[in-house]
Amino acid sequence: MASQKRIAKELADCTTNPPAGMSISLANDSDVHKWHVVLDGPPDSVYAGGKFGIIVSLPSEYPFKAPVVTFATRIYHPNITNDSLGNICLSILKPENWKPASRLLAVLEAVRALLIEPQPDDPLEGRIADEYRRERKEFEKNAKTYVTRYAKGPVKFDVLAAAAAAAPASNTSS
Amino acid sequence: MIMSTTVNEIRNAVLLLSNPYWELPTPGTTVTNITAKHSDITYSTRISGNITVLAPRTTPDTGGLLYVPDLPPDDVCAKRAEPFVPASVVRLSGLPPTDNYNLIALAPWISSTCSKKYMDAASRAPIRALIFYRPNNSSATPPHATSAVWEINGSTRWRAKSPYLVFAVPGLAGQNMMRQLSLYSGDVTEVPFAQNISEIYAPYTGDYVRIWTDLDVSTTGALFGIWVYFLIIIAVLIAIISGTSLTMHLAQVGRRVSLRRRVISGDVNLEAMGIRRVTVPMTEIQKFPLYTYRYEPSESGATPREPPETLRRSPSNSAHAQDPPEDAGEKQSHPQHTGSRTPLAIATDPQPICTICLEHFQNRTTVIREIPCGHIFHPECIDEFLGEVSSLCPICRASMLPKRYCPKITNDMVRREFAIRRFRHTTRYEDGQETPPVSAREHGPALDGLPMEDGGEALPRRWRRLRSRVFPGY
Repeated sequence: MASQKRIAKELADCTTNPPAGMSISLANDSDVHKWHVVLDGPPDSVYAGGKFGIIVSLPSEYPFKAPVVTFATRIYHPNITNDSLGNICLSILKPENWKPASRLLAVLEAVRALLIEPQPDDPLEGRIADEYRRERKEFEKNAKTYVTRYAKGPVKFDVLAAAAAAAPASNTSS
Repeated sequence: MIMSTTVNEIRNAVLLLSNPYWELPTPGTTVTNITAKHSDITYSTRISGNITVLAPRTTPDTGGLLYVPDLPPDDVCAKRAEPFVPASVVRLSGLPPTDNYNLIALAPWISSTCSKKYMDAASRAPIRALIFYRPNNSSATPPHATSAVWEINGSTRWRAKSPYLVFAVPGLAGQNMMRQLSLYSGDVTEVPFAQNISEIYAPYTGDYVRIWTDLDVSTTGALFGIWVYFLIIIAVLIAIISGTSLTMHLAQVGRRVSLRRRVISGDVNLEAMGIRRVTVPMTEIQKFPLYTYRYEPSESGATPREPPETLRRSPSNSAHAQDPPEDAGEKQSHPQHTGSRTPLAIATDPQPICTICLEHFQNRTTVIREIPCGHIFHPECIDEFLGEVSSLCPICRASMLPKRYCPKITNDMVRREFAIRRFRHTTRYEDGQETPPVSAREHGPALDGLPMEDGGEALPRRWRRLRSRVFPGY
């Protein structure tokens, strides 16, 4: 109950005053626990020009438990798994760091900040992190290739469809 | 291994074997123990004690038909034995086929040479034991096993080599057995009390009557020794296992006690270290004061936070009840907070909303609960959070656990705490005085990326360097 109320409040905040470069909607109007966020690649980053789908799942215990944030659009990033799952490594989302006082707005801002400044010291994709540290040019080239390949056009939130579409592509890229 | 075989008793009895054709033993063969039924008309004897075991062997506790081994008729020993061995004694030829019966041999110890010959002859038959006696020796006890009289070729080595049990009975007992053996060697009509036996058992004329010797042998030495050996092994194993387990158990108890002490003293915060979620007991949460939210900007311009007004909702809360209601909203003026606990910092910022449900507090209406770090929430929000989710303030993550409070410490918590301590130590060692690397900072004290099981990453790098120096290529 309290959870529903708080989520509704946060959703209202986010939709009336959306954070920069984001548009937020519910996956399903009757379920406030699943948000679809379309994030424009930050202009001063390698992801500029791309549109990234982000799925925010709020557990029923929210805000006592952290939300789960995943990328529905594939992205070439040290802190985001390079697969159809798109898991993110974000410190404020870790169970031991999550505080009920944290807000989804802050979480989304943190995701956006992660695109602007990756954290190669705490990577999910060690290879990409190494590349980011040592061969920045190569990293930027790959990231831009991913943007043109996956992040153009309408954003798909259906993870399974995205995975099916991505499967042949991942073979060629690896 | 030293065996001590003891022959406790020899029991002789007379058997009636009904099969007239020993060459063709059939399942119909009946054996009747005459002694057991009519001891008055048959021979029987018991020799207990006074038995010297010469060659101890483990042998089943059983008996056999008594006979005298055959020596070649022209042998000098056969001649020498004539005075002691009547010609009519039972020989191997006078016994049933030996694959149906066990045998026990009886022989006089005339001389060491002749005894050797008796033993050789006996070993050609499947005998259970060989009984020696010294003829013309009336002493109640045969000479001791180590005595020189039992030597063959100047030594007693034969005793260790004998394939069967050899023992000696007193001379008179042996002579008596030999005499009876000569009486019970023919068929049923020739034995003592043949008349009575015939009347009672109506045997066929071809039936035979023989002496059966039962041996009561206890080979305590061998069996006992083996058992003791096994028992010792088992006992040692049990001792090692229980000792190890006890030691480990004690060590674990010690570590749990140590961790508990550090938790109580405040050195270790289990939840802030990510070791374990801890919740605050509801009775403790109820002790945190309740106020009515008041927000009235003061003239000084400095936005004061809510000036709380005591609600005295719970009169049982003694610590709080003694506290006079205060209008000034300064945290520092609440002695029960600074007195009973030492929060890291007292929040003095304005808190217009409950950060759990994001609802605004209504001035002079909303009841709020203030927790020791100074943050305020709806009681229903914060009570659920502290009581069921976490012991840390939802805003500043300060611990809300009562002083000297410690949850049940488990071995897993001890392990995790140790791993975190080791990891921190390593990080400090590697970085010297510098700030910890970003990953450590990002992870905070929780270090959830720390692999606990294999320890591959958690192994101190110094140790790995040392190991690769000692074992190149490892």
